[in-house]
Amino acid sequence: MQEVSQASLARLYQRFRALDKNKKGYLCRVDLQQIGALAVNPLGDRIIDSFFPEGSHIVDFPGFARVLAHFRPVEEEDTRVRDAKEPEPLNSRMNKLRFAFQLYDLDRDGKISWDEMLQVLRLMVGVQVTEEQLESITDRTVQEADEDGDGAVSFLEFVKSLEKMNIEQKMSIRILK
Amino acid sequence: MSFHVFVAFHPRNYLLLLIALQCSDASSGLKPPSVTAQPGNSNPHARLAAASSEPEERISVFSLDYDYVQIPYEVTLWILLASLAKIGFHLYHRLPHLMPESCLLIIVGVLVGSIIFGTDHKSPPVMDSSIYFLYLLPPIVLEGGYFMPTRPFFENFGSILWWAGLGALINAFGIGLSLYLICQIKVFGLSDVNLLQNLLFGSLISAVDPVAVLAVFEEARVNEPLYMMIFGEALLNDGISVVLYNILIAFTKMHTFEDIETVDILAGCARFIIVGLGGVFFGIIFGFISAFITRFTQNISAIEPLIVFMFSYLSYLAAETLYLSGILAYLDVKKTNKKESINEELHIRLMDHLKAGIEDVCGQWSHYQVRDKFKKFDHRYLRKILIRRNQPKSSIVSLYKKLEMKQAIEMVETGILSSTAFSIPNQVQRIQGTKRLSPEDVESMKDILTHNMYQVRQRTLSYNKYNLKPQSSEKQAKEILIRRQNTWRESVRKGHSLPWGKPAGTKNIRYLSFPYSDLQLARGEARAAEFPGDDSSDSGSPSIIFNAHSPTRPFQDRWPPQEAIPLRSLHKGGPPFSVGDQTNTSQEEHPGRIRRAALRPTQLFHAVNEEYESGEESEEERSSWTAEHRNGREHHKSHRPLLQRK
Repeated sequence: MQEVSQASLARLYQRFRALDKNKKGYLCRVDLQQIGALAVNPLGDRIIDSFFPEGSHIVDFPGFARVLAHFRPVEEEDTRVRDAKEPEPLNSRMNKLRFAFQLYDLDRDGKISWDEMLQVLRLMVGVQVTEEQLESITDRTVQEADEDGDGAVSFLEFVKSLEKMNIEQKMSIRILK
Repeated sequence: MSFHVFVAFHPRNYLLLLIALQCSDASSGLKPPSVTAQPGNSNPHARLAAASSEPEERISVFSLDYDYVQIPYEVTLWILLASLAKIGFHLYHRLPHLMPESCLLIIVGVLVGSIIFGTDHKSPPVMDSSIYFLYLLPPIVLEGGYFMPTRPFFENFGSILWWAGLGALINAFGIGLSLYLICQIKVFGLSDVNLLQNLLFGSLISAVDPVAVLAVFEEARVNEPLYMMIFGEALLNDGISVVLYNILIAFTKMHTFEDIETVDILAGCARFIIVGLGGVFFGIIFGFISAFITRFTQNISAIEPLIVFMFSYLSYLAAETLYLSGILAYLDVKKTNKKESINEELHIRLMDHLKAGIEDVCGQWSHYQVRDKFKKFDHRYLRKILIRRNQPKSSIVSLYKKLEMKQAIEMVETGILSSTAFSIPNQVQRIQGTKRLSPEDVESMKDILTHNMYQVRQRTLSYNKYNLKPQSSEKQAKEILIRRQNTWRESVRKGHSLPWGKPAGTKNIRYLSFPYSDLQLARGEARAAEFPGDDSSDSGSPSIIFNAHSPTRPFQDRWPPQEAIPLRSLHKGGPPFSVGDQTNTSQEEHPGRIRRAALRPTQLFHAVNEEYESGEESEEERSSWTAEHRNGREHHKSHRPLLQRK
C-alpha cells in the first residue's frame, strides 16, 4: 500500500497544525474557512465540506491526510504492481473521480440529479447568465452524460463521460507526492 | 523657422505633424523676426495666417520661438506618438493577431527615426547614454519592480538567482568567446577585434527579454516554478548585464588588453558582487525610509506618490546597481481546452477549481517556515513602525469597500429575481430528456459557458503590463463573495448552512416571500458592505465587524467569512446555547465577529469597523460571541435532516 512519503506527511502535519489555530487537535469548518483563497473559490464551501465525513463537524489529522491523499499523483508502477485483493489506493483514478463526484452529489444518493447539476452550474458561472440559459445548459449536460434516461447522472455515467480526460493529471498536486 | 503647430491628435494628423516637422526643417535656415505662413502646410489650425510681416525691427505681434521649446517639445511629441500608436493598436482589433505590440512600436520608431534622419532635422539631440540611464531607465525599472508578484518570486528565489545570474553570465561569456573565435578566422578580416570587445558585445546582447517566451506560455499551462524562473530571469538579467557591461567598459578604458591581470579580473568579480548586494541594500534602506515617511503623510496624501517616486529614484541614483529591473511580462495561463462536449468543459472547470482549492488548503509549504517567520516578524515589528494604524491594507478589504450599496443590492436582487422568474416551470418535463436541442444551441451554450464560467484562481498575478485587467478577477471575486453571503444568510435563516439538495426554485421563492423587514435587513447588510475610509465609528449601534488578515498577502488571499447572522433568527432558533469549547484566542487573525443587534425593526448597520491585530475587544466578549455564533450554526446544522444517510 502506498504511503505518503515521510517528508510530505510531516509537511502535511505542519500545515494541519498551522490551520488549527487554537491547537485543538482537530479542524473544524471555521478553520478551513480562514483560508482566504477558498472564499473566492466558487466551490469553496463544497471543498471544505468534503473534508468532513458524514455528519461530523471536525476532522482530525488522519482524516485530513486521507482527503488530501486523493490528490497524490499517480505513479506509473502503481498500476501494475498492485495486488487485485488490496483495496484500491486513494489516488487511483476511480477514487479521484469518486471524490469529484461527491462535490456534485450533495445528497449522496449516488446520482447527480438535474437540480444538483443546476446548482453546480450556478455556482460556477457569473451572474450575467440568465436562469433560462443555465437551465438549458443543465439540460444539455445531463443529456450528454445520461445513458439510461433516468434524468440523472450516475457515478458510472459520470466516469464514462470523462473517460477521455486525463484525470490523473488534473486532480494531482505535485507537492503531495 | 518658428511656428507653432496646434493639431488635434487625431491619428490622421500624425502624418500631418511629421510633414510639418519636415517642412519646418525646410525653412530652418531662415530666421525672420516674425512669422511667415508655410506654404504647403496643410494644417488648417495654424495660427499663422493672420501674422503680419514687417521687415523692420518692430515689436512683432506674433513671435514664436521654436528653438526655445524644441527639445522638450519634440521629446513630448515622440512619447505621445508612442502612446497613441499603442492606443491605435488596441483599437484596431485585427492587428494583435498579426504582430505583437512591441513589434508595432518598433516599426513606428523606425519610421519616425527614418523621417528625422531623412530630413536631417536636429531632433532631440539628447539621446546619449547618460540621459538614458538617468532619466529613461528608472521609471521602467520602477514599474517592473513595483508590480512584481512577490510571493511566488521569493519562494523560488534560490533557483531564480541561479538561473538568472549564472545564466546571464554564461550567456554573455559564451557569446563573447564564440564571437571572438569567429573573429579570429582570418577570412572575415575581423581579427583586430579583440577579446575584450567581443565580451563587451556579448554582455550587451545577453540580456534576453523573455516577453515572447512568456507570451507563448499563454497557450500552454505552465506550472508556477517554471513561470517564476523565466520571469525572475527577465527581472534580474537586465541588471546583471548592465553591471557586466559597466565593468567591461571600465576595463576597456583602463588598460590595453594585454595588461589586464588576474587581479583585475578578480577585482571585477568582487565589484560585481558588491555592486549587486550593495544595490539591494540601498534599495532596502531607501524603501524603509520612504515607508516610514509615508506613515506620516495622512493629511497630505498628495505627496505620497511623490515620495515613492523620489525615494526610488534616489535609491536608484545612489546605488545604480542591481535593481529590480525587468519587464513584468504577460501571462495568462488560461488553458484553452478544445473539448467536444459541454460536460467535459464543465467538469474540467470544476476540477480546476477543486484543485486550486485543495492546493490552497495545502498551502505552499516549500519555504513555509521561512516565510512564516518573516511574516511574524513583519507583523510584530515592521507593521508597527512603518504602517499607519487602522489602515486597511488587505486588498480584499479594499475590494469589498468598492462594493457600492447600489451595486450590491442590484446584484442580489437581479440574482434572485431572474431565478424565480424561470425556475417555476416545472422540472418534470425536463427530466423526460427531450432531445430538442439543435447543434447551434449547443454551440451557443458552449460559448456561454466558456465566457461566463469563473476563472480558476491563478497562482501568479496574471495581468498584462500593457493592459491591466484586474477588474475581471475582482468582479468575479465580488460575485462569488456576494453569492456566498447570500447563501449563508439564507441558510441561517432557514436553519441550514448550505442548500443541501434543495431544489433551486423553492429556495429562491422562499427568500422573496420573506416579510418586508427581512428584506430591509438584507439591504441593511448590503449597506454594511460599504465601508467609509478610516473610521472608528463604534457609536454603539449594531455593526458587523470585519477583520482583515495578514495584509501582505496579495489580492486573492485571506478572507475571513463574514457571518451576517441576524440575531433575531438566532433567538427563534431555540434553546440557549452553551458556550462551547471553541474559545478564540488567536492574536494575529481574528475570525468574523458579530455584535449583538438591537432588535429594532429598522436596523441600521453602520459601516464596518476594520481592525486587525488590535485587541480592542475584551477577550471574553470575543470568545463568547464567537462561541455563540459557532454553536448557533452548529445547532442549526444538526437540525439539518438531509445530511443523514438514506
